[in-house]
Amino acid sequence: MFKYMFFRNYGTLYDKKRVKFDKQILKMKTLFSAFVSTVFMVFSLSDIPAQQLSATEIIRKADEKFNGEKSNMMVMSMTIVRPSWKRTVEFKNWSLGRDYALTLITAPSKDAGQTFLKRASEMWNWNPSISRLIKLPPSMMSQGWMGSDYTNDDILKESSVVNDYTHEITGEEIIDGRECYRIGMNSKADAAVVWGYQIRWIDKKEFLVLKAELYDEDGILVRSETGSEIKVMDGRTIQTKIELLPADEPGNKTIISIREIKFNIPLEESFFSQQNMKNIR
Amino acid sequence: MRKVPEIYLILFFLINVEAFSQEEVKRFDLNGYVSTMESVIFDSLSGPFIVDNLLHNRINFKGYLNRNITFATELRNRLFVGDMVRTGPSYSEMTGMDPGWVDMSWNILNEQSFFLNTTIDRLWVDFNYDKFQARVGRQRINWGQTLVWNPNDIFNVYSFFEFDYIERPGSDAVRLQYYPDYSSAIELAVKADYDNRITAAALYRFNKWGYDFQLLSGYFNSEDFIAGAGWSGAFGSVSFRGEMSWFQPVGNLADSSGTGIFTIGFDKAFRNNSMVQIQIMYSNNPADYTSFLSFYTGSLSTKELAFSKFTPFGLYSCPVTPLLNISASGMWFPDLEGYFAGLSLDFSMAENVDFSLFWQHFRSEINNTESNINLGFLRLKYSF
Repeated sequence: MFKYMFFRNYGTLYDKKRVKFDKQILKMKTLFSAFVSTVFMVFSLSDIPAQQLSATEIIRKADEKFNGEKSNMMVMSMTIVRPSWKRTVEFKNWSLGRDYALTLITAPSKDAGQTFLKRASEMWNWNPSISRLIKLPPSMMSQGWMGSDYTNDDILKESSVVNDYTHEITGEEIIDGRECYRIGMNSKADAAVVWGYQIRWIDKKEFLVLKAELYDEDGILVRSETGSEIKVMDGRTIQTKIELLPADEPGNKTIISIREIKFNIPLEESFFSQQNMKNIR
Repeated sequence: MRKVPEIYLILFFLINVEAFSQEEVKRFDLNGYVSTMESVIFDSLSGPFIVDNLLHNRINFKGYLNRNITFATELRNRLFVGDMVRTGPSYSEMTGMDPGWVDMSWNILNEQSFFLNTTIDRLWVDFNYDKFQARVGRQRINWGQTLVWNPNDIFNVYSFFEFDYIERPGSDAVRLQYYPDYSSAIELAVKADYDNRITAAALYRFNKWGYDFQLLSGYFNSEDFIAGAGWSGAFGSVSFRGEMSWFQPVGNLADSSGTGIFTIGFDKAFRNNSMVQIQIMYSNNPADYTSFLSFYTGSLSTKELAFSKFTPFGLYSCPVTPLLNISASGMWFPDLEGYFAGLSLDFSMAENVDFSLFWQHFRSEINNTESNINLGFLRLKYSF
């Protein structure tokens, strides 16, 4: 029973009838998908000034930034806000490419010290209070990490935002005092993606996604995202606070806060080991 | 104290003197919990109730001397009050009994109606260098692969029913580990218990075809040779885990007096985060049922995990709301003509406060005598 403590406690913080994103991100694999989603949003930036870029080029540049990064380390928290309660999980994450990730839970205290290791399609959990290494069921992995619509379509499928959509600059707007391109993205007919239509507001200077609206195939707004608290971390300008708001559930949101981030740190494959799961801190 | 625990004095000394003497980003971790648990035991609703309360505090401390050396001390303080305490001194004596080589369990206060016990169940120093790791002292060596019964977990025995002590007692042991690659390990461990009985074993764990496999062999409780194997993997989306151990008395290597325990289990998590788990255990030589207590808390020996030749188990756990999880489980003991049925409810009241309700029902028929035992628990737990 105890083996799934973490998943039970964090995996189930979301209602079943929640919109797609919420359903998945709050499950146990939350950590990884939230992490990757953060990476995705964080890397939607560039230090190249936007000259006369086409909408597709803007999206591509942001995407290449994301795909081009080899490794990173992040300290972050995720808060689930509901009308009558909220819960926060904090963690450190190290990752290398798409295949290797190591996550250490640092809060809440009852789960602190637990680690998760992902290597390609395998995943393990280390629980220090019972000194037990558990190979996680593939059903857990596939539903949240590899198999969920969110992760596959929005995150893990390389260049999905570039290749599966047509892009158009539909305007320019000022968000939080920053000039942004407003880019409309229509999914291509043959693309197997969740979102029929997206609007992204991308900062002209830094290529930060400051706002996004995600619509289903019927054109109904499902979720919006905002990026704020722009700071320089490890020499890069990034948004350190990302809020995800399901459209049909007022009062509900998920807040991701980045406390620390390091890019392209020297990490070897051997870092992502069962031995290191037990020693990382 | 049965012996002068020099090694522990040394560990204490090191912790006190050195743990804070060097620059490290993070030099220590301190956490734990406080819980209060009300329990009731009864045969039937119309019969007498045995009501007790347990105030329980656990403190976990880890000190990081540097990259390579870590210390840990973990202890639990428990204040027992209630009907069980008043039945006589045997309850407090049993609670204060330390199965380890060094006695680190003390009944600090022991009166007619209450007693306070303090137990140190972890006290180790860990040396970690490159692919080597050595840990000396009281520690948990957990070699389990399956989720309910663990015949490979020869250094500690886990009783499924003891939900309030997931950490379990530590072993006074020396453990050496070498990690040839990311998912394999070679381990050597030796422990001594309160009776100076030795358990010494080696384990090799590796990853192949998407499975974790392990093989182990050694000397168990100064009486048996043991050989075992275990695995964790999957059939499609369903986890498939198993363990087997064979205990052969040292003096009777050739005959059929050995005890084998075999178990396999499956588990699957569903999209809504509910989970199903089943496991079955077989033993050619199940332990004798001597008392409910030994059955409930589990014996000190892995060899006595089974009370029935076959024991099937099932569990279903489901998040009813994001903050409320309910699970139901059952176990069947054909040889005792008995079963266990359990229900648990966990509610997250606040960020670090959990409320839990547990109900355990046992029924058996031994020597034509039917017995029913119900245990109910209400627990409020604050983690820090």
